[in-house]
Amino acid sequence: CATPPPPTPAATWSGRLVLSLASDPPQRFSAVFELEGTAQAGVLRLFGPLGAQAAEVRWSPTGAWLDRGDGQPAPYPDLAALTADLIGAAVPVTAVLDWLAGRPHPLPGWEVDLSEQPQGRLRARRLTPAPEADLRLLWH
Amino acid sequence: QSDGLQSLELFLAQVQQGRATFTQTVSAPARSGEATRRTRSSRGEFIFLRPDRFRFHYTHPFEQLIVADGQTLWLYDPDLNQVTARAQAAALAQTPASALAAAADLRAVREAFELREGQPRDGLLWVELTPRARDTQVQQVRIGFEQAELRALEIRDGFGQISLLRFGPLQRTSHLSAADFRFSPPPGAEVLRP
Repeated sequence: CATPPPPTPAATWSGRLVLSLASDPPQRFSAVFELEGTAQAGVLRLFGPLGAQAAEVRWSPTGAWLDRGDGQPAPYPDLAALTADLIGAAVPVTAVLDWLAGRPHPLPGWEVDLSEQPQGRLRARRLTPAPEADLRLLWH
Repeated sequence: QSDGLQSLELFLAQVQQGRATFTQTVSAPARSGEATRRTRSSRGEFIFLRPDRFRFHYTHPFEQLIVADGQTLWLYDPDLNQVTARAQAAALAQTPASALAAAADLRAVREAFELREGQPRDGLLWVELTPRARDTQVQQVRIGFEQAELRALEIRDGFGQISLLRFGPLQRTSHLSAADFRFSPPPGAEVLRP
């Protein structure tokens, strides 16, 4: 029988992310982030410009949770629903983990540029469905 | 014997402008299986001009600029060449920076924060400020003084994270003017006004 694929190693990334939405009016969400974990389970921490933590996202095989520091993490069925609620676009965090590691992870409607991944930069654009979303990540 | 509250009052009344370098250490609670708190540090320069102008220019580990020019709060990220501009009044009301640099006097600070004398610690006299508005990311702010000299700004958020800014010697004869707080987005920068 086929041996199960080795679990992707839990990685930790920290840097800055900006998500721009070509909505009307246009929106932008930017934050310093710490991302840790695998597709199965992990945590994403988002910080404001002066260092105060703004939100914490956790996911596991049973669901995803958004904590805004008020002590009542809000449950979501999955990460896509959570990120759509948090920043207006269903960002596939598990795909982002692959992109950060330089592993291609094609997604329908998304155009991903990993050419600068070795320099700690990546850009992913969701062309469909509208509004267009432009996700940029910088890490060190 | 001057205490923290008196130091803050003196600082707000006597120090109308200033320039200082700062180092910032952000420490998060140790997670299960970790011995110590995780820390991140950054540094830069802080200038301010009462009553409503300041600038945090982070230089390490990456450059970030936060400028309050009196009307607008500008956030500029040179690596991403992106600028976010917000009306200063709304954006700043509860922030620690406003208590420190953009408040005309103690009464103005009291409008946004409940004030209490803090415990002396690390050789400093502290004031504890609790934001009156509940929905802020900031749970508590502490400002530390050494003989009415600003030395530290400590910010606690809802995740148990503590951000401590330690200021170098405050240069007061810096003749700052409004021009030092003007910011215009560089050519080609993406500007957003949420």
